Amino acid sequence: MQDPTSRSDSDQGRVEVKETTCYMCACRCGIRVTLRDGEIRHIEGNPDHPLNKGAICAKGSSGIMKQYSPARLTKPLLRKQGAERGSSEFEEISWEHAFELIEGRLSKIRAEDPKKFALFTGRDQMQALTGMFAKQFGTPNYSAHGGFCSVNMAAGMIYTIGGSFWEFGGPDLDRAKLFIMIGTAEDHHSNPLKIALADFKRRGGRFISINPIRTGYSAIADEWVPIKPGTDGALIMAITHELIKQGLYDRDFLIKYTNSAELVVDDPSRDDHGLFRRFEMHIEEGCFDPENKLWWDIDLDREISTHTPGVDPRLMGEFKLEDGTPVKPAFQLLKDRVEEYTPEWAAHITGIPADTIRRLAHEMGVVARDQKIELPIQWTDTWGNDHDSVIGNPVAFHAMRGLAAHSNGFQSIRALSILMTLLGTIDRPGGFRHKAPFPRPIPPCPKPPNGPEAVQPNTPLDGMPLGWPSKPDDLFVDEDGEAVRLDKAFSWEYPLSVHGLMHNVITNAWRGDPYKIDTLLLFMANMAWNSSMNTENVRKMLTDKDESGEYKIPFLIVADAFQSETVAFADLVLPDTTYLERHDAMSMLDRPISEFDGPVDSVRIPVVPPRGDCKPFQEVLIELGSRLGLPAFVKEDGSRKFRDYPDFIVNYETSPGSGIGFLAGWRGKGGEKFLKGDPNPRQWEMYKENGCFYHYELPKSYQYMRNWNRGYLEWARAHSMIRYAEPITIHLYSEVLQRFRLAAQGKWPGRIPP
Amino acid sequence: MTQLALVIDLNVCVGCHACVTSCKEWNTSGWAGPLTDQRPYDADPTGVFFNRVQTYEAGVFPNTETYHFPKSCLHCEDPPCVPVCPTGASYKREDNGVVLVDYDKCIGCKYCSWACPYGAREFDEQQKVMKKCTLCIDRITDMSLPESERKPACVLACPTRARIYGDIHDPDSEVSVAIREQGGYPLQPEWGTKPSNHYLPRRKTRIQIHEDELVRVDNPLKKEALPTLPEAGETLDDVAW
Repeated sequence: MQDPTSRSDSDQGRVEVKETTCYMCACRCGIRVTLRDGEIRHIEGNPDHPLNKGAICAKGSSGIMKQYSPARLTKPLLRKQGAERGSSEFEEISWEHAFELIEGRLSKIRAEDPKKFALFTGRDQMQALTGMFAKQFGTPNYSAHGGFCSVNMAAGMIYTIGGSFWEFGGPDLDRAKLFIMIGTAEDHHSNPLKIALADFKRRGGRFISINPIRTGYSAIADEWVPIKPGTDGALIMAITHELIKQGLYDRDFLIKYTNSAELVVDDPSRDDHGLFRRFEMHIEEGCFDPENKLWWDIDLDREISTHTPGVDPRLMGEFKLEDGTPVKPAFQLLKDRVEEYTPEWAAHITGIPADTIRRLAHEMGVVARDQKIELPIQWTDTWGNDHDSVIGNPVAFHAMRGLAAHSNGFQSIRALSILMTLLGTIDRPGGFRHKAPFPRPIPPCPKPPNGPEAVQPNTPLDGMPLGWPSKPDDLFVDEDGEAVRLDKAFSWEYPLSVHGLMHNVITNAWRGDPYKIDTLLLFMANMAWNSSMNTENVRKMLTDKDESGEYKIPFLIVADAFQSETVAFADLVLPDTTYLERHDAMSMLDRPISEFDGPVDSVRIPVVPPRGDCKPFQEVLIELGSRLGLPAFVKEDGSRKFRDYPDFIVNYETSPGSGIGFLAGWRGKGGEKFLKGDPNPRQWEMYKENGCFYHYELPKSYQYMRNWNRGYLEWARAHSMIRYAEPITIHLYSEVLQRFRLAAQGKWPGRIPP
Repeated sequence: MTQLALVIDLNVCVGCHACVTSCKEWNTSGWAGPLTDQRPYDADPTGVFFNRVQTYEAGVFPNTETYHFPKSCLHCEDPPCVPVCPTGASYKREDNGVVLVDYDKCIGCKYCSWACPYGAREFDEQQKVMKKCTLCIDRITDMSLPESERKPACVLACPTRARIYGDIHDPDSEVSVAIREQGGYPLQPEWGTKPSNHYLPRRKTRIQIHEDELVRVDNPLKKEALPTLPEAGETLDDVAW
């Protein structure tokens, strides 16, 4: 053999190095792909990328296996005449033929009843486009896979603190001293968490892992606390009980930044029981918490407007307002609620000894209280008070599907958010920190439509297919209280299913409950294998026929890069490209890859040409949108507006002249603006020159306390990330949930369940 | 003499296998490739890996530990695989101490794998030659690469930076300092092979909370104590004379 030191790998063939973004999991690390004679030689992490800083995981390095997999689809396929679904008997057809088939079918559906077209996607990283396509088509039947994945994590936290783990926020391990990880294995997110965790351990931070099994990250935990699956909520309630009992909560934080001291009507006989007592004032209609609520002043021993300067309110007690209304501070309701949830009670449920639960509570409470961090960063709160420093209580948490993917997930995660709040750790150093575009109002402004009239022939959907209900009247139901969406999201059954319920789609379509559909388009979603928790029956439903011998789900289109199990059941198969063969935008309109210090978004730029006749699904949507004449994709005269997907990404604006598009970086005619600005024809090139990502670092004074940071909120409003620069008060007590409870009790003045 | 080696920090290794696949990907198309796979897309796939992560559980529930243990050729200072080779295919480089196999000389007799006490050698069933970790010899000696990238693929990939690479004979190198200061140890030193690769042990951080730290004078519960007025009734003012 030749001496290895006398040769260079780069001399073997024609070598090129290109940068793009990984898609072997959902983390979206920056990668460098080396090509030899046009084929992929190897993939490594991009050392300049803010997310992975050069690291690459086992999946990322294995991207080459996906690229050259023998299971790749390379041609559009049509189920053979007479062949049964599931038999995988297809004929290859041209894209033109495929588009004609889809166009014919969908234009008819759109003219008659757009909701008979359903578009559901898997771990889709362009939901801003797929969701927009559905809205433009006019169907409410759209979502990605979140409904059976992390929706409880997003909803439970966003409905409590205005942000959530992973894409929208995370543990600040750079400054934390105690880190508690619950129900997380090796993902969500992967490389950034591994990098931070290793540095945290090296600095001597204490890492506790609460998990039924000791795998992955848990292996290096200083302490592993084994817990029975699905009982995390009980543990968290017991810890909360102990923290309150010992007085180990951050009183100052709770009073200023949460609704803990706000007075709640406490009289079960009244219709406003459990709602905040509000006084009358002029309120601009918006999706923020108006400051028209009351505290109980310790000194005056009477009610007083919240945030009255110099007032110290009570967190505990029960009081009578001047008009005789019995009230309690929200914190007292929490205290009442957890009274019975003692460590002994939780020990029985979780399998964790009561003494361990108490010790965990004490560690959290004492570290948060006694090891405070003070950063010399000036900032101003939304009430106009100047602060000379940012305070941090250095206890950080991270949790994922171990909590989220249970039927009690929403409440477990709300309990975790409350625990993090009690310790005073929200958007503070060493605790939980937000990532742009979060924090957002609680709940965020976008709402689903609230009635069937939002679905009209040949008309875009009046509202967003997915949104954030804040009251029963925001539910997407008809006069009889029946769901308008096929998956029954935002119905009385699933009121806060903010990511939709993809796992219901095939079953409901098959049953015709709430109605039958015509065409189901699945993108990168293997419902006949692992995405439905019901693989065998999904296959039966996809092949089941009605009395007339027609399939109960009449037409199934599957877009995928691989011959998945579901592909076998498709009537029409659209071969997608791999992530290395296409343009993509990880958009601020969807789930960007922001860091704690500011917004980050990224793109993919092809490093190799598509294999065979593969076409990126993005291009398929642009083509279909143009052919179907969906308003966002055509000019006024009905002609095609965008040449292709890259052209769409550059030139699309949320409304004409809004300056808001898919990519935040290098906007403005010459790329001189960010977040908001005119389309820039050279935007893709500028991303390419910058490693395929855009990172805007906020001034230090805007990096913390963002729920109540005037400078940050006004900056965010100026850059159109939020609509109101109003404080985002943490919902220790959720009045939103109480509104639904009152509706169930028949006490809500608006919609009540059937 | 230079002795290049890896120091692997078991305190932070989470067993993610990034080192395994990045190694395989780099080396299969490199000087020491291919790392042949058999039945890669079928049942029971198997193949050549230069680096594997073995995972062990130790202890009795609930006092258990999970160890992720990455293992590759340890580039011994006195490698037993070298003298047993009948053709001279198995050799140790004099310039940097890396142990290599020359496939052109290898006859696939497997003596070296029997001699290696660590099970670090991998036989390529297709090419019928012995293969093993080269410490990415075609990266670390490639002067056309920037210095920051003249490292084994596994080291560059590792998300927890659990793999440190350098010269263990240089007392000031990062690897030597880590071994010295963090209790780095070789595997099975009793075999006398003087493995160059070292491992850093697990370290635990604990917090001790004394009872008197639990309640402080500024305990917020005190704020909530309602003012208590003395009960009406007799006082000394009423009865003393």
